Amino acid sequence: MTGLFMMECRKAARGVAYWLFVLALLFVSIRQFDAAVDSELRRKDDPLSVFFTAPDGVYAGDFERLSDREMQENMMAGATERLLDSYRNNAYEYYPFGYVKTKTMSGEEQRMILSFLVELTGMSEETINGAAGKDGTEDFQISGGGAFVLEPGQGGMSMNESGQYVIEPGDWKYIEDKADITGASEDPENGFEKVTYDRFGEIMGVVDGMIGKNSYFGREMLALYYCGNDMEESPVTARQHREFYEGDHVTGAFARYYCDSISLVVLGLPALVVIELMMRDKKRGMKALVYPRTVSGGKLVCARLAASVCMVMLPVLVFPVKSLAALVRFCMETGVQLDIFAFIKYILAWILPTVLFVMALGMFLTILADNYFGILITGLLWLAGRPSIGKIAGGNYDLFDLVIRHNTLKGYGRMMENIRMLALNRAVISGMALLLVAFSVVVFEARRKGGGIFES
Amino acid sequence: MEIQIMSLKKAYGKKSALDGVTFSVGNGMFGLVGRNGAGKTTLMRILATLSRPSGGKVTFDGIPLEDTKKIRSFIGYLPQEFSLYPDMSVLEIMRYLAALSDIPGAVLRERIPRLLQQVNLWDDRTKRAGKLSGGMKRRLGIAQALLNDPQILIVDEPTAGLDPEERLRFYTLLDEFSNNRIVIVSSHIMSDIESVCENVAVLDAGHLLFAGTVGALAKKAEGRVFELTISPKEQEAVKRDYYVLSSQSHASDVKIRVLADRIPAGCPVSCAPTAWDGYMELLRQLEKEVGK
Repeated sequence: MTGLFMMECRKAARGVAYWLFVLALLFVSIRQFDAAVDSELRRKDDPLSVFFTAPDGVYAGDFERLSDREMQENMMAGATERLLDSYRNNAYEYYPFGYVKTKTMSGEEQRMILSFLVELTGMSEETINGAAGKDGTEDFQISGGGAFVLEPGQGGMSMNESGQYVIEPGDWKYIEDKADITGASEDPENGFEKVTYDRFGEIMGVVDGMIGKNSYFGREMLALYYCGNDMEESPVTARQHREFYEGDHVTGAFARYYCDSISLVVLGLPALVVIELMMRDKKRGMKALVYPRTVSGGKLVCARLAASVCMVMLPVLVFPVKSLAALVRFCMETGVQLDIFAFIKYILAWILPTVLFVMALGMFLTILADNYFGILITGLLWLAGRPSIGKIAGGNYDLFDLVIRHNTLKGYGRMMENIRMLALNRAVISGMALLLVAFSVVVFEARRKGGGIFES
Repeated sequence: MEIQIMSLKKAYGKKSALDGVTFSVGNGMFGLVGRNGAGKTTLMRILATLSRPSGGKVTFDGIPLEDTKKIRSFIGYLPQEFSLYPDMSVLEIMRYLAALSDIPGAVLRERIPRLLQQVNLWDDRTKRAGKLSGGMKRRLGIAQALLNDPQILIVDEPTAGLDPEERLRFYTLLDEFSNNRIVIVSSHIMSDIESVCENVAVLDAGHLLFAGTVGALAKKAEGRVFELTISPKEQEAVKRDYYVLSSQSHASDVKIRVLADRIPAGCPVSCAPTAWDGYMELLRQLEKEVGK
């Protein structure tokens, strides 16, 4: 069995589909995961970083203690700030297929966004454009009593060489302390009529429509990022700090993020690897040499699936090693306890069932149809099997979710709250994969013997 | 070892590929002859457990065809059309197919080099299959069919595309192997079969026309084979009136060998029939029946 398994591994590794998978995985690992690890480690002393440890032990307030109104305020402030930033760079991110894309607006569209920003912030076009005039930081005029007030330290406000404060967009905080958030009110000093939450929703709807599917300004994404589920890039709270160091032991959070980063790759391409392997007998005219052998159908099917799965899992396990080493170095330098096996645990628990299912399905369809039909079905599965954007923050699992999303380094507690459903989901997906393997063996044996619909 | 084939039927939809074929095969070289589409490959695929019959029965020393696991342990099969994983070396292919045959490692270490030496491929063992010539591929094909040291070897049109020297080498190898075993060889080239097989079966359109020894097949044409020496002008008339087996042009005349129910006019020479003549006589009789 070992000899056969090893030979099947070599066969799988000689396929074009395999190297396509490896390249896609490498691209996603470097671009999304390694970049995230580097970025977090670089800014480890920034309150926005998950690594941040407050010297005085005081952290930002937790979302869980916010009222609905405060949550709405937070959403309006955060979304306006992001819109300002996107406008400034004319780069609007959205997620049409689960992966980030950037849209560049036309001049007319930018003017429309500008008008919305004027309405949302009460600032003049000149002020907004002035703020957008230079790269990086800019001196903002404080509207004073308007919708936005300066909240030092939130966005990394710093002092320049001439002793003046340089304000980042993140330093702006939307404050509404008198009027009801749902009702419009006028600022007595500036004559600025602050937008209502409903009007804010309308504006966001228009902006979302201009950008594309799953932009940061769609209803679902706004709820996702500004309603207390750790997706917002905001200063780390005491709970998040505790979860990161005591629950995840640093590496757990990154292992989860890695699994999320590669989730869409492992949902599709591994099927091609096994389909190509199974089709080689037919394509290369080897069927009549392979089929009349004494090896049982079960042994051959299992050897081929196991070889394909192992070859697929190999780079999945290897690619995060570089970032893991950086995390280990950080933990050793700071004396923080880490979970060295976190990546292995998460990869085996989160990724392996998905890989198993996708590959078992691809193999079953290939044996059944004896052609490349499986590519079509697994392609459709890739399109249909991706969880909705609402699940991107993790912790929200359904029984038949093919992939587990968790696109944040925070949220350990949310995952643990739903760990039973998560475990059940992974068990169900693995069980379905095993069922497909059993069907594959039956069909393979029937096809080997010929006759009926399986006559070659 | 004996293979019993009883009332064997195979249909693809409404088309019958084998229709009630009955004969038995004993040790030694056995030839399966017939025109293209006669059902030779279908029969061989059934014997190799690659296709299920629509009716009838096949046993191997009493073991029914349905016991595929057992039958696969003692058969070797070389299909008419096959290819090899082009990126694998000769040795890798042998090892891979051996792994599929559940052959113990110790046995393999001795057997694979021996087989590759037998088929003259040992020096090319590291060559990729994609780089092998047609003859080398055929030789590798026979080597892989012998991997499990089979009691029954089934080879379908083994010499197609081989040059005469390779054909000879191939049949010599099969002949050596056939001692105390069954080797079933199919071909539409009767002379190949005639030279190496003791027994033969003739199939046509799924029907068995003949099963017996090569001598008995030759006897089918006894008293009906004549050789005529005619002028080129008479050639067309002879072709019209008789079933021509062969013709050979010389300077001023043509030597023509025919099958005839009665002695042809002129100065015919009655010839001793060969198995080829017997085979052609079977086809001639069949055509006459169809004509009627």
